[in-house]
Amino acid sequence: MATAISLKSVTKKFKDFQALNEISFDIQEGEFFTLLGPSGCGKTTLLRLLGGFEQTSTGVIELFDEKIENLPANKRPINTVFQHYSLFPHLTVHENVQFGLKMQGVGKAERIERADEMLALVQLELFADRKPNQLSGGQQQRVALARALAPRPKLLLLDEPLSALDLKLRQSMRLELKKIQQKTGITFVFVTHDQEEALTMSDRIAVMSAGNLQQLGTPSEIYEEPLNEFVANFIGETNLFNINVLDKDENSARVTIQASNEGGANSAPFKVPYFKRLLIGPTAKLSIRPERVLLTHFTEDNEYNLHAIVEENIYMGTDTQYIVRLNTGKQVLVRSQNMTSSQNKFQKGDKVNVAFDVSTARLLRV
Amino acid sequence: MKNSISHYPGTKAITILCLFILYTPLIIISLYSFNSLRSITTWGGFTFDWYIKAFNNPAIQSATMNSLLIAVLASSIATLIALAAAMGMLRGAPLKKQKIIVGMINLPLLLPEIVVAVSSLIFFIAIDMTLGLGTILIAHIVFCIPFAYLPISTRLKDINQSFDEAAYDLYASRWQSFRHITLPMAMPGIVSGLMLAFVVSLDDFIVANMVAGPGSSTLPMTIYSMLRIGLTPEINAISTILLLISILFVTASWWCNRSTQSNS
Repeated sequence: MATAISLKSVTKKFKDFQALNEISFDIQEGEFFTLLGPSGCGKTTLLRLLGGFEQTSTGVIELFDEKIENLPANKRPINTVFQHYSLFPHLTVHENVQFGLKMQGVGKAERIERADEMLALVQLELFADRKPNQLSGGQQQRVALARALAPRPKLLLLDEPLSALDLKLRQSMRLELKKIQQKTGITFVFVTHDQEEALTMSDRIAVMSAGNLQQLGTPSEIYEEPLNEFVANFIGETNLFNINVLDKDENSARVTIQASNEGGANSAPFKVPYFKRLLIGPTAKLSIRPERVLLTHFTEDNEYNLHAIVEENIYMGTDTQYIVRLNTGKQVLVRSQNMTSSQNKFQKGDKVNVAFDVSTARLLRV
Repeated sequence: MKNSISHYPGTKAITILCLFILYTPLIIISLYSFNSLRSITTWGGFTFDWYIKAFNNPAIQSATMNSLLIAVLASSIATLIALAAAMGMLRGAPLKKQKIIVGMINLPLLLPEIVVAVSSLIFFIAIDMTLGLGTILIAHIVFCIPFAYLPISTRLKDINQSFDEAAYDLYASRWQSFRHITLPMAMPGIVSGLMLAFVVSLDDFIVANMVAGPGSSTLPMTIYSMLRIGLTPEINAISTILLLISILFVTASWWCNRSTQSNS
């Protein structure tokens, strides 16, 4: 597989504001690649640099080994699905889809054939002669997709294209986008702030914050093996414990969870695996996902000396969410699947034992 | 809750008075243009004679041709200039002192017309230009620009620049993006501006009267000179036609702007 896009030390400065800081990564041909981050993290700026709407301050962008950072948008074989679609209101759906081909100088017969083909791909053949304002949001979204795909770009950029749709439509469009991407084989670069969207659709995800690339990996790598506190917090929900590292051997460390207030107690020491350089002392945090914390009835012989009082229990259908106050003083979020009946296992005020599988916990350096 | 304006005392009386003073003379002129008597006070029966007479009057014929020629040329040229100005103001990088420049484009709206007329006259004489249709045309182009500029710039402001960006992304050059996207989308504003400018030029008396030369009388000037001989139903007939044309164009201009606002 060839490299579709290669970013080398790309930075972007707006006056005094550093929007992107030394971004480098490659995107493979045919990949569904997602830029994920909170608003203001630089993901849209990066997309606009790829599209040619902004100029890089420094660095190199290569598209299939050709430098493109100085090419204007209308000279790059890259098309964009805009956040608010920007369909031309005075043109019909069919004319909208033809527009890029017309500007490229494709002959009329071929233009019509290819636009028909694209409208068939997004299942809007019957709406070809309508104006964009006669379509629903979901249909407009498909037209925008067809319009951007019609010139057969080497790279398709999607700028939060699902954010204007309601939840049900958004979920079905996710599957459809993925299907269309696989059918056409075109490399997609998708920008979103919605981590669920990123996890369900992407081959790989680049998590960004404050103009920096935080982590690059497959959805499961990002979720299971976050590199830092930001990624752990941003992707899904997690509990972060302040940890004291007592000692360490080759691949696991002996740690305690530290009391987070005066009346709290430290947990008993236990061993967790670690993956990065680690210093002895209170230098790390432990990330444990809510669904991986196990609550059991309180007993005295508690392995980690971790017990808690249930403060809230929220029934959510497929699972029940508990907020418990640990004896270390920290509030912990727990999610347990409702495997049997809708009966809540624990009630508010119950005293419970808290345990977790250490292999699913993740040590993060502060 | 807001009260409708009719809740305030006197609203009705003032409204009726204003409308009466404004429209009664117009209605009387229109009615008496169909009067078979020369009188403007007694009704003698319905006739089209005065219209036929007016159409056959060579002075009116040539004045009408002059007026139409100037109105068509002045409004088209003023619209082109206004479109270029609006594109520059709204689509280019913001200029220093942009507000002052926009103010200067619209200044002719505020200047007393007689001042414009006199200063134009002095200017044309100073540069030794022969007074005639040419000088009227130049003066009209200048004061028509703001009438064309306002609807065009209002329309352009409503067109999101993301359409330009989308066209650019789809391989359009700047010119193609203007030609295929911005221009068709701005067309209602352009047509509206064109029609306003046309009516303003057609109706102008003060400026045209000042900078005209021999043989370059426009319709309002001819009406005025005929009035000096005496008020005839012929004048009523021409005035009625001018009135109708103005109402038609202003209504069409308003309608153009309105119909696009509802679908954007």
